[in-house]
Amino acid sequence: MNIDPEINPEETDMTQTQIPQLAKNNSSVRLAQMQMFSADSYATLVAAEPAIITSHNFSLFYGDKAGVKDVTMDIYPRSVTAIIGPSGCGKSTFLRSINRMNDLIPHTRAEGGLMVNGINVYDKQINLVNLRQQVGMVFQKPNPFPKSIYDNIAYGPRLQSVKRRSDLDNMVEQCLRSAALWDEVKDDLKKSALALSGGQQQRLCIARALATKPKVLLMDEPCSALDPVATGRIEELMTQLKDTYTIVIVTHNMQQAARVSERTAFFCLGELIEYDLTRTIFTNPSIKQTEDYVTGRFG
Amino acid sequence: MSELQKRLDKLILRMDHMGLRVEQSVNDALQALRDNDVEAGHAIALNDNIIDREEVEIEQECIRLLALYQPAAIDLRTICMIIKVNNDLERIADKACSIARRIKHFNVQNIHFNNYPELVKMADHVVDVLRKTITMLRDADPNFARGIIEFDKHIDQCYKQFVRKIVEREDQRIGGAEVALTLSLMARALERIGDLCTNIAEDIIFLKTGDIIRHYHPENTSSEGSEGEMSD
Repeated sequence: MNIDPEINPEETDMTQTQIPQLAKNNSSVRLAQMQMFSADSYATLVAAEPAIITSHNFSLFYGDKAGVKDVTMDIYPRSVTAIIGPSGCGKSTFLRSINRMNDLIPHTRAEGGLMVNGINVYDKQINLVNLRQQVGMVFQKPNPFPKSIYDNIAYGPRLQSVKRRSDLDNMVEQCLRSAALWDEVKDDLKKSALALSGGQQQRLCIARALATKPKVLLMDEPCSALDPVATGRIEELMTQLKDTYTIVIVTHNMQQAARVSERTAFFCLGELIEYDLTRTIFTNPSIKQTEDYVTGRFG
Repeated sequence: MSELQKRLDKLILRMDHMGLRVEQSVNDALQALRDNDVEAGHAIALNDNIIDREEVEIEQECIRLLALYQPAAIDLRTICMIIKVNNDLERIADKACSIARRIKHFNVQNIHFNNYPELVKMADHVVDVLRKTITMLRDADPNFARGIIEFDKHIDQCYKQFVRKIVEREDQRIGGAEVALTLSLMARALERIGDLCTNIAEDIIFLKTGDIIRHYHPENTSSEGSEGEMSD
């Protein structure tokens, strides 16, 4: 018997059968999400995978002065590791040691061990071109070659003797897609790279670094010359790239370090003061000096 | 000193001030209960309006500081602590109001507060724990905070014993259910103040150590904590 004439009995039946099912689906999805969160909250400084970069009592001297002193830390693959610290604390020096960019400065000398992917970076026998092909770098200011967008990306692969036009085309497209730039430039590949905006140039430099198929990507304040929107795009890009690459970023922007990285190392006066999960560094660091720095009390 | 620190210091001072006002409110309510003063409720309700306004303003300032300064580490923990303590203080003030409101039930049912030594003792405990909590806010001493959490277990025990006793005693009497309910609700309000003091103590421990100890029962004694979380 239908008591309320407004209610269609068929509709009532439908809601009765659907509502409990919806609620069940909804809660199981939510539960799965929660389990994902709790897995994340049990992350530890030491990852399950072996470290890709290991620094053991590593020091780097400029003449007599140590730029980096006795740094021991492990950097894990497929994650973003941020290095923060006040100016002159050795964070860039350490970053540039990883692919031996400091060799360009006269009178530099390294001590201790620095291994990338099991290879001693400061081994005399090492082939620097191979090392830098494996460990790419993106600098503070976008520095594309004064060539076309296409040639910027194809530069590395051509040096590696990739000659076939179709291979190069594929590579250029793939790298530009990985750097989230393809849609913006696909019709202007022959245009000069210098005609792009600052943020686009920086993404082009990232695409160029990806073209040599590196394992590690070093970023030395990659967003400090960019506006907030371009910065946001680079940060988004970093979170995408970390599934494939190991990213080490030096940044003065602490919110950026907090946003993009899983682990953070705090350097001061050439020494590694504290290295921990980013969320620990920014909520409850163990060392007073770190706390003073992240809260802006010094530095 | 940075601008953020200056504003945080000011905020802590405000919270402290609010704490004193809340303490005053509870003390007034309990005094009115002892004196069977039905009229006191009005003054306490007025004080509560001020506390409500202050709570909103403190929360607004916390949100502004989060948005403008993106604080980290101790500064972040301080703001989180203030947001939570602020809320708990306001709820304690609400309890003071509900105690004051219930005095008229005591009056109507001819219940004399002083005839119930357990309830008097509970009220004294609550005054004591609240005073300690407000003092602790100023010093932010985690050891002191742990003491408060321990002490609240004692208040919970008193509450349970009292309610059991009252229910047993009033069970057989005509009109006894109503009396038992009035007394239990009063004891409940007192017990809740103790719980809220525990929450504040937990927030102070979080501020100092970064540890969230809420719902953490190392010996897995019982689910007493979850019972305390229920609101009435």
